[in-house]
Amino acid sequence: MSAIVCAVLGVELRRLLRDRRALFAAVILPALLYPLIFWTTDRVERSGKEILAAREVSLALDLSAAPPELAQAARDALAQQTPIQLFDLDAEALIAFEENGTEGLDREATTAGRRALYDRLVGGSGQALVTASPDPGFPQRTLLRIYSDVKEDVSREAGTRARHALEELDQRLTRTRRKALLGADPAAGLDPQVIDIASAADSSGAALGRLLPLLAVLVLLSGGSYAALATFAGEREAGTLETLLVQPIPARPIALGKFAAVLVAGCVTLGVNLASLMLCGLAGLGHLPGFTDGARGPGLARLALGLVYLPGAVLICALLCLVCGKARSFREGQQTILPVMILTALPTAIVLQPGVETSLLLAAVPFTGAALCLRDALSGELGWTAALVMWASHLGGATLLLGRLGHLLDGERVFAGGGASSRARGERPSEAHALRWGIGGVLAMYLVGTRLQQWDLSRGLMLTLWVLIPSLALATAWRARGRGSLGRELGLTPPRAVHLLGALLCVPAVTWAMTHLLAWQLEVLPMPSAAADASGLGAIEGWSTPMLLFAVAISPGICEELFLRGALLSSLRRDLSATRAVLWQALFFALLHLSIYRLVPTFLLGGALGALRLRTASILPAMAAHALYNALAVLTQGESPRVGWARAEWMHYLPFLAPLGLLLLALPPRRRLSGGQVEEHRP
Amino acid sequence: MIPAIETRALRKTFQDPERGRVEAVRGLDLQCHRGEIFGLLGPNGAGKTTTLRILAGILGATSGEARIDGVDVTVDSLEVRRRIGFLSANTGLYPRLTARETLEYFARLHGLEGEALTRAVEKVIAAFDIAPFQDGRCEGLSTGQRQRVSIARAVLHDPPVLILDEPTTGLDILASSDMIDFIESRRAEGTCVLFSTHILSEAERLCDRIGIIHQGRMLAAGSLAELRERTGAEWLEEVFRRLVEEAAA
Repeated sequence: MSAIVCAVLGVELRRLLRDRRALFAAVILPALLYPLIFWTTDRVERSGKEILAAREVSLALDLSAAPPELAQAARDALAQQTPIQLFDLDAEALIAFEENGTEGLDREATTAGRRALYDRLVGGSGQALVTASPDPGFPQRTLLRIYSDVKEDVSREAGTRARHALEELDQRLTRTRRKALLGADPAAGLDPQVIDIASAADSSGAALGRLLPLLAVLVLLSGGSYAALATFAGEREAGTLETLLVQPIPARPIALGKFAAVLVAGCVTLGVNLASLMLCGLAGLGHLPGFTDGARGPGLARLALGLVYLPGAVLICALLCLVCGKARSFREGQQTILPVMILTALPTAIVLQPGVETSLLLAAVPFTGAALCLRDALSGELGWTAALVMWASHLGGATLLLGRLGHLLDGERVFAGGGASSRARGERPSEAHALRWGIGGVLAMYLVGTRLQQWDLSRGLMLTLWVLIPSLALATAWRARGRGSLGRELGLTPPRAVHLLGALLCVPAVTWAMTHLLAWQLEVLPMPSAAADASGLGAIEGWSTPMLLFAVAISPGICEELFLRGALLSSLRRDLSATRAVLWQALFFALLHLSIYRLVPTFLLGGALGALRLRTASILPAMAAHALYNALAVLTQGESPRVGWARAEWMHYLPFLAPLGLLLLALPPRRRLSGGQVEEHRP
Repeated sequence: MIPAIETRALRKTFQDPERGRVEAVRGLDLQCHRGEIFGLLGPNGAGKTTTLRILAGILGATSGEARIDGVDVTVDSLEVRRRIGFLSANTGLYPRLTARETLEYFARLHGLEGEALTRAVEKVIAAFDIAPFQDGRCEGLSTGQRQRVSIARAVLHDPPVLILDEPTTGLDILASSDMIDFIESRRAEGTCVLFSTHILSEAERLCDRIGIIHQGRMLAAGSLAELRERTGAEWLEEVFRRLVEEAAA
C-alpha cells in the first residue's frame, strides 16, 4: 500500500510542479507577497512623509492671551519646524466660543460652530491655527489649542508639527521649573518605569502568536486549495480518473497519495510564506509584531515549536481534499472553498481574541485547538496536555475525513448517473445567481444596514427590515422565477394548517435548546463587554413591548424569511440537493446577523427554518416559527423577563410539545418542492 | 472452457439528477472467449459504456452476474482489474507527464518494480514505436501518438482480456487503421477483445461476433452471417435497423 501511496504522491507532486498556476499559488506568491506589500507600503508611506515634510505649511497664531515670554518661546519653537510660515490673527471669537459658546450644544452642533468660526478666521490662508487662553482648571497655566483638519494631509501635517513643537516646549519648561523649585533631589519627582521581565524570544513569540495562527490557516487554504482542486476535481474533469480507477488498486491508497500531495503543497506554501515573513521582519520591513523596537523575532528554536500546529494543517488539508473530492468539476470545487474558509478561519479568529485561554475543551475543538497551541508554543507557554488533546482530536478528525475521502473515489459515485448533464459540467446558473445575491445581501447589510442602525436604531432597523431586505428578496426572486409566479418563487403558497401548528409547537423546544447552547458558548467563549454593547441589545431595553414585538419578532419573521427561505432557498434548490441548499442559506442567515458570537446559533436556526420551508413547501410556517422564536427570546429570556409568565411552571413543559409538532410535520405536504418547482403532491 | 467474459441477466439502474431513475442495462447476457473479438454495437446512450464499466469493476451491477476469466467482478474486482486492459473513450492521459513517465506510473500501480518495470515499459515503447516521443509531455503529442501511449498503458501488464470503449472515436484514418491492426494482432495472440463502437464498418471488418445493444437490451448476438440469416438483411446497417424496429414493435 505504501508503494502505491508513494507512486501517487510522486506523480501528483510532479504534475503540480509542472503546473505554472500551482507553482505561482504555492511558492511564488507566498514568497513575494510580504516583501512586495511591505516594500510598497513602506515606500509609499516614506515618500508621502518626505513630500509632506518638505512642504511649507502656514500656521496661524493668536498667542495674545499667553504671557509674553511664553508666547515668544512658543513662537520660536514653532519656527524651528521648517519649512513653516507663521502669521498672527485675532481668534478671540473662536476662543470665546470654546469657553462659553458650547453650552447646551450637542457634539454635532459644537463641531459645526467651531468649523464655521475656523473657516471665517483662517480661511484659505493657513493650514492650522494655534490659540492661547488661560487654562480654566489651572489659571496659572496657559491652554494652547491646535486646530487642524485631519482629513486633509497638509492641515494634518501642520497640526502635527505644531503639536510636536509645543509638547517639546512644555516638557522643557516643566523640567526647568521643577529643577528651579526642587533642585536636583532625586526623590523630588516620580519617574515610573515599566520593565518587561519576559525574554526577548517570549515577547516576540507572544506578539507573533496573535498573528501567525490565523495566517497559517489562510495560507494553508490558499496553497492547498489549488493543489486539492487539481488533484481531485481537476482530474475528474479531465477524464483521467476513470483510467486510475480501473487499475488493480483500492481507492484508499489513491486518496491517501493525493492527500499527501495536497499536504506537501500546503506545508510548502506555509513554510515559504513564514520564511518570507521572518525575513521581512529581520530586514525591518512592515513593522511586524515581534520585530519592532529592535527585537529579532522569536528565534528558530521557538519557531520549530510551531510544528505543534502540524495536526491543524493535516485536518485543513483533509477537509480541502474532501470538499474538492466531492466536486464534479474545478469550478464547482472553487465554489465550495468559501464555506471551508469560513469554517476554518472564523473559529481561529475568534479564539485569538485577547483573554481567551487554552482549556482542554478548546484544545479538542477542530481548528481552534491547533491555533491556540501554536499561539502558546510561540509565546513559550505551551501546555503539553493541551497539545496532546489537540493532536488526538485533530488527527482523529483527519482520519475520519480521509476515510470518507476513500469512498468518494468510488466509481459508482464518480460515474453512475453523471452523464453529460449540465450539472456534471458544473454549470449551475441558479446556484450562482443565489450565491451572488446572498453575498450581495451580506455586504448590503454590512455597508447599509449597520449604518442605518447606527444613525437611528429604531428607524434604521425598520428601514433595513422593511426596505433593504425585501428589496433584496424581490431582486433575487424576479430573475430567478423564469416564467413562474413571483409569489411561488418566494414560497408564498398556503401551507397545510397542521404544518403551521406543528412548526409553532416545535419553537419552544428550539428556544430552549438555543438558550442552553448560548449559555455553553458563553462559558467556552466569553463575550467581551464591547461586543455586548455593540450588539445594540441594551438600547432596545427601553422600547415598549408592542414596539419590541413588531421590530424584533414580527418584522424579521416576515422580511428575513422572504429573502432567505423564500428567494435564496428557491433559487439554490434548483441546482443543489436539499441539504446543500439549506446549508448555504443558513450560512447567509448567520452572516447576515454580522456577529461572530451569534454565528453558530443563527446558523442552526437558519438550517431548521430552511428544512421547515422545504418540508411544508411554503414560507408561512417558517415565518410564524421565526417570529415566535424571536418573541420568546426577547420576552422570556434574561435576568428580568418582560412578561410575568416567563417564570411560570408550565413554561418548563412547553418544549415537550416538540414531538407532537414533529409528528404533525411528518404528515405529507399538500404541495412538494422539488428542484425549485412547486408541484402537486402525488402520494 | 470458461468464457473470458461472461454476463448473465446483467442489470444496472441509477439515479440521475435530471432524468430520475435510469435503467442503463436491462438483463444483458453475453459471452466472449479467448482469441475472439466481440463488438458491442449500439447508438449513443444504448448502455455500452455502462456494461464495459461494470465488467471493468468500476461500477457495480444492480443485479445479475459478470465474470472475467471466471472471476466475479462484484466479489473480487481487484483481481478482475489485474486480468483486463481497459481503454476508455477519453484517452485518459495526464497532460503534464511525459509518455515514459505515464507508462512507468501505471506499471507501478500494477505492482511492477525495478527490472520488471523497466522491461515492461521498454517492451511497450518498442511495440508501439513510442521511443521518438517518449520524453515529450502528453499535452504536446498528436492524437495518434496519445492513442498509442494509451494502448501501451492498457497492455503494459499483458492482460488476457482487453476492454476497449469506442477506441477509434476521434482518430484520423491512419491512427484508426493502426488501432484496428492492433486489435487484430491481439486476437492472433489469443487475447479476448471486447470493444464498443457505433461505427458499423469497423464492426463488420473486425468482429468474430457482434452484439446489437439498444436501450440497455441485447437485441441479438452472433456472427455477421448469423445476424444476416436472422434478419434477412444483407448489410449490417440494415440488420441493425430491422432489429431495432423489431424491438420497438
